[in-house]
Amino acid sequence: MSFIEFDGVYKRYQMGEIVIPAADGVTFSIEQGEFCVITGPSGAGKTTILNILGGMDDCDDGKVRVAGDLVSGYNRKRLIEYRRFEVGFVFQFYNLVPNLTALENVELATQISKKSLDAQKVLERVGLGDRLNNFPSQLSGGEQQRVSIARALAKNPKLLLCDEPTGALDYTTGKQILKLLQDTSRETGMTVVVVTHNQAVTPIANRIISLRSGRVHRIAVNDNPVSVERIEW
Amino acid sequence: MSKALFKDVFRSIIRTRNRFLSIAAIVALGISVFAGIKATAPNLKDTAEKYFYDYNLSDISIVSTIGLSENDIYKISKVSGVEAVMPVKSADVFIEVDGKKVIDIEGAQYVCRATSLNMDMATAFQNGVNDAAYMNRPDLLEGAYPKQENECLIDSSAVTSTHKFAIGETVTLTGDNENLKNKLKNTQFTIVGIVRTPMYISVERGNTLIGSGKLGNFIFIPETNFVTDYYTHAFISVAGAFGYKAFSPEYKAYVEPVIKDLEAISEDRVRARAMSLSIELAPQVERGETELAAKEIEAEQKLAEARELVKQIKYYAENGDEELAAKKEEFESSLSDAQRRLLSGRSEYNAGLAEYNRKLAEYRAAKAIADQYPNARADYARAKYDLEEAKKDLDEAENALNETRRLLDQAGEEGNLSNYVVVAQAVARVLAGRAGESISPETLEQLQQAINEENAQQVYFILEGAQRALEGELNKAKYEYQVKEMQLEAAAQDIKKLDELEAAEKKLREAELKLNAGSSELSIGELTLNMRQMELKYELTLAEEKLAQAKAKAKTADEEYAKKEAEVRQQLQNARHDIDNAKKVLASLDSAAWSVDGRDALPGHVEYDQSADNMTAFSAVFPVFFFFIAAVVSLTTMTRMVEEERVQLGTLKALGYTSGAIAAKYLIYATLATLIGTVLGLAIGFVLFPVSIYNAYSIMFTTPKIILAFRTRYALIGLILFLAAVSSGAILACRSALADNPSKLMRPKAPKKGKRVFLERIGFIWKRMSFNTKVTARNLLRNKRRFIMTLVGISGCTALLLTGLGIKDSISSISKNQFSGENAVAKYDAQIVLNDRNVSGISPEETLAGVKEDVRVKDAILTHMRTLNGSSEREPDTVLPVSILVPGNTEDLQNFIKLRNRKTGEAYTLNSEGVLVSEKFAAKTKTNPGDEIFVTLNDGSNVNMKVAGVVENYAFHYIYMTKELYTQTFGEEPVFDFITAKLSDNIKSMDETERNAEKTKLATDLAKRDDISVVVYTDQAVNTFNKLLKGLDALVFIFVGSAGALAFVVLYNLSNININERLRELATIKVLGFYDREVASYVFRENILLTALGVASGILIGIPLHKFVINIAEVNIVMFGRSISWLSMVIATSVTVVFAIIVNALMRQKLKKISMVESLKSVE
Repeated sequence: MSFIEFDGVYKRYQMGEIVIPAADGVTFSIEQGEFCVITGPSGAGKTTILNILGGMDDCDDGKVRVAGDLVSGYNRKRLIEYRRFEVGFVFQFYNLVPNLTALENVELATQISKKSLDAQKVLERVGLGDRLNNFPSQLSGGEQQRVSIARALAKNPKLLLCDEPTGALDYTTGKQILKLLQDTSRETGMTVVVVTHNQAVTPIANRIISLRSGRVHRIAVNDNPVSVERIEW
Repeated sequence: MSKALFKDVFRSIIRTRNRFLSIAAIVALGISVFAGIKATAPNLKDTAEKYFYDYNLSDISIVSTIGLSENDIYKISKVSGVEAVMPVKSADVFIEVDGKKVIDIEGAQYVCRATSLNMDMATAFQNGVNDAAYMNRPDLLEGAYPKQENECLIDSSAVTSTHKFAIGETVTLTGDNENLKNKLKNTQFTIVGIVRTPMYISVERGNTLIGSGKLGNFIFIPETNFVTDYYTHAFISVAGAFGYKAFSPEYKAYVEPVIKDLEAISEDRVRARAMSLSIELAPQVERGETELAAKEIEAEQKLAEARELVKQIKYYAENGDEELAAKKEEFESSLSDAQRRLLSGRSEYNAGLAEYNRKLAEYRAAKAIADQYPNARADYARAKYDLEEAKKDLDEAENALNETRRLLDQAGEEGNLSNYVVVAQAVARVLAGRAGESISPETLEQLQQAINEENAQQVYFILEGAQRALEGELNKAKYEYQVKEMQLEAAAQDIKKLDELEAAEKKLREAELKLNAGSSELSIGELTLNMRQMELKYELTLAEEKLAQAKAKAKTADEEYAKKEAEVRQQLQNARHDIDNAKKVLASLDSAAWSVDGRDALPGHVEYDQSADNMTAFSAVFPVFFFFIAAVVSLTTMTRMVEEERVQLGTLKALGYTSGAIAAKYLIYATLATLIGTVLGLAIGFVLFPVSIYNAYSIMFTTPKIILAFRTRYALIGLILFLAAVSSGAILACRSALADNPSKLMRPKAPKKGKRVFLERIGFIWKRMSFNTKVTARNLLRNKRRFIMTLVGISGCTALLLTGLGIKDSISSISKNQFSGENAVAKYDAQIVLNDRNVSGISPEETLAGVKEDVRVKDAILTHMRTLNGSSEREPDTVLPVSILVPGNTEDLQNFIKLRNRKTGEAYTLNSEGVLVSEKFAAKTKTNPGDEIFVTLNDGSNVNMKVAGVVENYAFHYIYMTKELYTQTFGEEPVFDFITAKLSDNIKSMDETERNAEKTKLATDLAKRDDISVVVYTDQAVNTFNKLLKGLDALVFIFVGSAGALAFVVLYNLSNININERLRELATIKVLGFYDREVASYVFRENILLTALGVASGILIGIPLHKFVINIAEVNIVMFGRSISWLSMVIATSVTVVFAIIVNALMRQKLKKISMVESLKSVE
């Protein structure tokens, strides 16, 4: 059994008289420790899938399993726990609390999980050891995203989900972030799922899932993922 | 503005209706408070004014110390400006119900003013005639107008009375040391209607000359009841006066000249009247004195007689029993005698009857026997004849024999024949007589022969033979005789039978007679006995009744005598009073004067005006607070709205819309909300506030229901103000946004800078704070404006609650501080009202001793109380009714009344250096220790007094002075008419039911005494107060309601905004896996802290706010407690917290519903 299993997942939105299927029978699996990239054009349903996987949304049909547990059957409370202990989320727009320092933002996450890592250490690991007491407004985009990643990692989750992590960043910074994600995946064996519409990123992944119009278009497994430094776009 | 934009406005109203409604709500709240309170004062005044107009309140009243004559009335009506005069006769009286005197809550006799009602005018009024001369009309609330002379209308308010008057009750009026019959035809009236009149709009009825000086209530009685020929009052209506607003200075100025003119004619009129009175009264007084003296003597005589009679009755009653018992015995024994006799008579009769029957039987038997011998008598007669014959024979025989014998013997003795021959011859003769029977003729022949032969022997021989024959004959005759005897006996026996029969018959007849006699005697005897019995019973019953009557009479004889004695004495007293009163009048003629007054002199008139004005002062402060809140809340809300729609704003700008057009949306939004809020607010405010305040004041005033007028002026002012506030908020909110260029607007807003909190700089505190605390601190201070707003909202709520509850405390504490609390001013439990010593004959000192002896009374002192109008030099316009209290024993007063200064805590002892005045009086007349105050006597003169100290007091106004000072000041010694008493500890420690029973018993026992009239417990005053104060609950409710509404709207609004601003942040932490409650606390930790701070500052604000309100709202006769109870503080805090919790709970729902997906999508 795979670490992550999506089995015929549907998500429909009702917009007046029209029903829009954001996910239209999505089926795939991801193995543990893989660095997986989910790509597709805008509106393909990538974010929808990620949201369902991250426990932020539910599906109308189908099954979602993570580490054997039926996540799609979780009730509200169980979902909260799922998000709390098993998932780390990185947003496109960082979503840091502007009123808290970098360290405090990470502490926000470490407060709630018993098995979390030391906030300061994680920040050091992402290279922000000397920016602990700065507010997000005092950090650059990349630094903010690193704080965001630190926050996600500090929870020590089973699964790290990233929604367009480099979307708001420039080329160099973006690559830095991707490298961080890749290193984390390699070093800690954490399963990382990255959603992006940038096809150029796909070589660094172990598995590439292409979505089109809410369906899985193609799943490609890459036995030899490339290091981030080597890719260009 | 384009059509699309228009649609946008309305759609956004509907979409964000919570926000829209919250602005409307805060405006509604603010404007209702503003307009409502502002409208109250004019509404109150209008209500009064209409009342005065409808019921024709007089403009001027004239009272003369010696009354007004018809001429006076005529002259008054001729004064220029006078439209009409209504003369009135009145009498101030005491009032009784069911024989019991009615007393007021202070223990004094309740004084009632019996005012004449012109029935013609009243009837005309009922038929719709509006006569200007019919003034001070009664407003019939219940019942009907009097149809008969002995019916009356009574005051609807009797707040200070301990008795509640009702329709159908009969009241008896009595005079204060005067005979009411001199003034009124009837003194008993049946209540047929309940009224109020604009002359008395406050529950205070003013002063009177009798009793304790306080007027309790009034009744209207048909004018024809008054037998006096003068008027006591003249009421004047000034032409055109109703054209001026009641209470206004213009009105006063208009009426003033007429008052002056009336005063001008007063002197002449008074002198004229004085003259006529002097002529009338002086001779009456003289005559009266002599008559009274004579009557007094007569009375004493009659009383002595009556006493004797009583003695007799009592004696009989006591001894009657024995007599009756003796008589009873007598009767009983005579009765038993007769009965016994009857019984024996009966048995005799029975015996007689038996006897008769026996005799009858005997008779019958005898008859039966006798019937067998029908010829018994005849036989007997024959037998008797035969026996007689036989006897004859026998006798003859015997004789013959005896003769013979004799002869024989003779012969024998002599032995000579010659004798024998003689004898023989004799015998022969004898025998010859018997020849044929025993002696045969042969014998005789022989004998003869023998004789002839002188054969003596033969003769002897024959004689012997003859003797023998004779003997034989004799025996035969004897035998015959015996037979005949036996026959006769037998016949006699037979006869006997007949005799027996006769005897039996006789006996029978006798028996019969006896029996009959006996029978009738028996009947008579029985009849006699019955009659006798009845007679005796009757007599006995009579005697018993008589005795019972006598006993009953004896019981009441003493009472009846006492009653009669009291009556007689009362009559004498009345006569004495009449004379004394007339004398007083004569004495007062020199200083007589008129009192001409405008409406200000009417009790409660000025107070009503002042109370309305107080509301005006109130309305200057209270609504401002709400207005401010409304403005800021709307500003914050609109700012939020504008921020949310930044992008849209920018887009519109980019499209080329002008700032004006864009701002118009928000302006319209805000304006519409304001308009809706205004309509709602005015609808509620114009009704709720005036009505509630009116209800609160209705404990002090008796006016018709408040008129609720739509006060356009205030509505408009309110609307404009709030519109301005809200729109400026909207515009301000737009302005900063509209100043930016479109691209900036359309870009996501720069993330807010994190700010260092000042707390961070304090290193060692910051390090020790937990993570959550740090987060909370940061969050609190990141938006200063909202922080302050919330703080203001919460502290405002707490302050309002505290003020509202504090008002209630202050008011309810009046009775506690004055009477019932531990540190109360008045420590006594009862006021004992004494009877006039002239009537009871017992001095107050004796009564005091008697009362103190009672084990249920712990301690007691004599007091004298008198109510007059008081004022000071500094504030001569402020006139307050004040009670002068003089203790019998100066040192003891402090055991009954706490004499201390509230502010300084200084304790005073009463001495003759000066008087002590109660705090409120001192405050109102601006009097300090060392100043002088004065009171106005009934004759209008002022008496000055020096103030030695100001004492704490909460109800009414008092001046305490020693009796020496009183005598010095008033020129007469005080008459002690009260005993102020404390109950024993024993009674006070009982439980309620027991205690009340004991107190009632004590009151009843004391009232039985001649020298005591009635006992009034301070409990009654407390109860009355508490009832009065219930009316203020409405006012408190307003405060609490406003406070709640305020808290709710502000908190809800601000929390809403708070959350909306941080949607992204909150969604993020939800993604992070925060539980719902953790998300909630993330937000609410700030709220909790804000609430705590808000409550604390609210209390700090509330205390002075409360003091301010109290000072304004206080009515003259009471002093509100100045402190707020701990309980109120706790309640104010808890209620605020509760509101905060409710808002939090509602927000919680909102938080739960935050969709992570949606919130993280938007680009901002």
